[in-house]
Amino acid sequence: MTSASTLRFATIGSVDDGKSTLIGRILYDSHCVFEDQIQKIKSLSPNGSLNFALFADGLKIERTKGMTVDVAYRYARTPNRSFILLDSPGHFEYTKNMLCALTNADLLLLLADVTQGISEQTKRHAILADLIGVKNLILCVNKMDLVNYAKEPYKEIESEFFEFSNHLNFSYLKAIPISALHGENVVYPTKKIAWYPEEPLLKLLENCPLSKQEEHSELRFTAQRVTHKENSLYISATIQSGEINIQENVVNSKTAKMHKIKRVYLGDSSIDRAYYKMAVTLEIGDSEDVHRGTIFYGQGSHLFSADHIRAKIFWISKTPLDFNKDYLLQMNRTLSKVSIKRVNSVSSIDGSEKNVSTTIKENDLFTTTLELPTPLFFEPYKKNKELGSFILIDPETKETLAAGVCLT
Amino acid sequence: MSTQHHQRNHLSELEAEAISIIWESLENSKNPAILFSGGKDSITLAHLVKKALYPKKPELPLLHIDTGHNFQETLDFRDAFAQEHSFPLIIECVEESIKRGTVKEPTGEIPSRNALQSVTLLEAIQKYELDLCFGGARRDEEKARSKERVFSLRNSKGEWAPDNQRPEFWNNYNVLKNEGENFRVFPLSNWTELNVWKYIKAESIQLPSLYFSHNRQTIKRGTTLYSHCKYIPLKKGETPVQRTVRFRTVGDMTCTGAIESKAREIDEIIQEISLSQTTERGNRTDDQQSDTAMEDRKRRGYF
Repeated sequence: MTSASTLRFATIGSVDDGKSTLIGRILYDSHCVFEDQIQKIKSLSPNGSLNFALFADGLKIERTKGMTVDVAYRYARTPNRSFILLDSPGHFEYTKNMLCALTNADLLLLLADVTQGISEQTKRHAILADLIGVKNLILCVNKMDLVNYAKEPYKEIESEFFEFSNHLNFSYLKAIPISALHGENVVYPTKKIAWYPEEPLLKLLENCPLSKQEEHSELRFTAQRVTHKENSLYISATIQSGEINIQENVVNSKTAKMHKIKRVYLGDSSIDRAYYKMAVTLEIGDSEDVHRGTIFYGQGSHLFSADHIRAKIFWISKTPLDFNKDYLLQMNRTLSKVSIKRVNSVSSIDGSEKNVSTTIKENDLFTTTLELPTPLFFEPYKKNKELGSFILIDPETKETLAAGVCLT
Repeated sequence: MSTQHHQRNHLSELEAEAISIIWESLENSKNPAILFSGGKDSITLAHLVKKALYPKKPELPLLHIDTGHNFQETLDFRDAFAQEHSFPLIIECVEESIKRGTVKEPTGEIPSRNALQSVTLLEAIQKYELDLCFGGARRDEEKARSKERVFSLRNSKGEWAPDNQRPEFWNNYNVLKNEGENFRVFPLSNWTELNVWKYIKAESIQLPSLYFSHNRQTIKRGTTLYSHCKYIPLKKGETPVQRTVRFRTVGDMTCTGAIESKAREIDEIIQEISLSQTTERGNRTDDQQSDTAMEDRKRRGYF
């Protein structure tokens, strides 16, 4: 199975850069919205014109405020690829919802207003995407109609951005001039931007190569559900990296014991092999050592555990971090107690550097060491996203307080 | 990569995502149920739950909220489906809520009980102490749904708070809840109508006959084509007309419109939907009460 058939992309930018308008334009021009939706949106406008942003801004509060509050998931398809579009809020207040979109995106469409240039916020969004491990980025320089589709202002922005992103780790990086409002260079090519050598945006999205490191690396899977039946144990799991064949041996990370895979099931049908991302049930000889959260790896591979894990954390809660409190760490199907005694460095997602001694509050980004009562198996986020990412939960309110990634 | 190859891959990915969500739900729920309407989405969902549970048989029930205005074909199918796949079946009737006085029988030209279902559903959740209900809703159906999380937390009154949803990072769902709260979980969140039909074809899933072209006595009100039935009183001078129709969605007879169609096979339906210019819920008068009808109902505890 290859992952290139579906592309999940998020649109991110500052307020009023035209993210929702762009999503609406892509859906409309690729014929992925229906006549009754179009009529409804026309009926909401005083002069019967089409406000493209309303294709994505579906909540009452969004239509009243005229801005996106939460992620909208929309769907489009062409003969070659299916798209999941994640339209995310640009307003600082809703940063946590933007982060949600980023953690689920293969590609980031970063918007910049050609009349405003590259803002500090544009750069911070790119840095955040890089940190979350989004490998593909297209900078959409929007509102080209406001500069009469002139090459110069675009080129200036393009080179500034490329120079800046040089030290980031994107494997696919492009910039494109568009007008989402007028549909220029989005789905259809345009003569107005004849000086731009590449294809329109939708073509870039269709053809962008998507390789995921997890697909080609060593086998990892984590038991999500464990069932005993007769003399067998059935482990239900999603393959988190690599692939597995029947009759192969896998190693239980907790006991270091080897188990032979007797059968691989997809539903009730037996198959020979399972790949990255597949959700399968693996039959092994009966064992008492396997529980939800047990990680397995292939023979010849290895995995480390630690009770002190260096991590980078985004604090999203309105309640500040309490250094004297025990929190819940949810990582890779395992819940564990955790405390944070000190932080090493802090910056706000809005870019301002902060004094390490100050409190950690909403939208702060900091590095720290997680202190755990017992060692946990993990991998650095850069190596494996699923084995290296976590959320922090308040044990009393059950609120999600933060999202984080394990460092090396 | 061929187009066919691409589509197969996309369906496999959606299936894997749904099955993983089902595992996460079942591992974190003491008392789950599947909200089952007898429509294609809840049938597909039940099929996926069965796949996810292998080698065990399903123990969680199908919960049907029966408005009393259902198509007979749906009810017959529901009973046969539960029996064939050995799902326990719970049926809760809006009629009973009316008798209890928790809801009022609607009146008017088309007395739809659609909105009353929420109350009966919330009563059922309380009665059976359900802490997690699977639903077949998809984000592509409607704009309020396009905003809803996969694990949608509801307070003790069953209410949804769209402007303060718990964030979902990666596939690391926070499934902890406080006393009285419960979850609605939507494993088909990222599926489109077309994905569901292609999956139904690939997996040979059986559906009620309503989805396929047939002859039926119908009445036309505005642009909506209703099935002639005892729940919709005929207006003066109105006569039912026999038409060749099928249904794209299956709800109450009082809010589900038919479409004129000759599509009798799944391939023909897939072809028809691919070319369709309207959404599947375009024929649902329950969504057309106002621009935010779905969001308003969901806030109050709707599916």
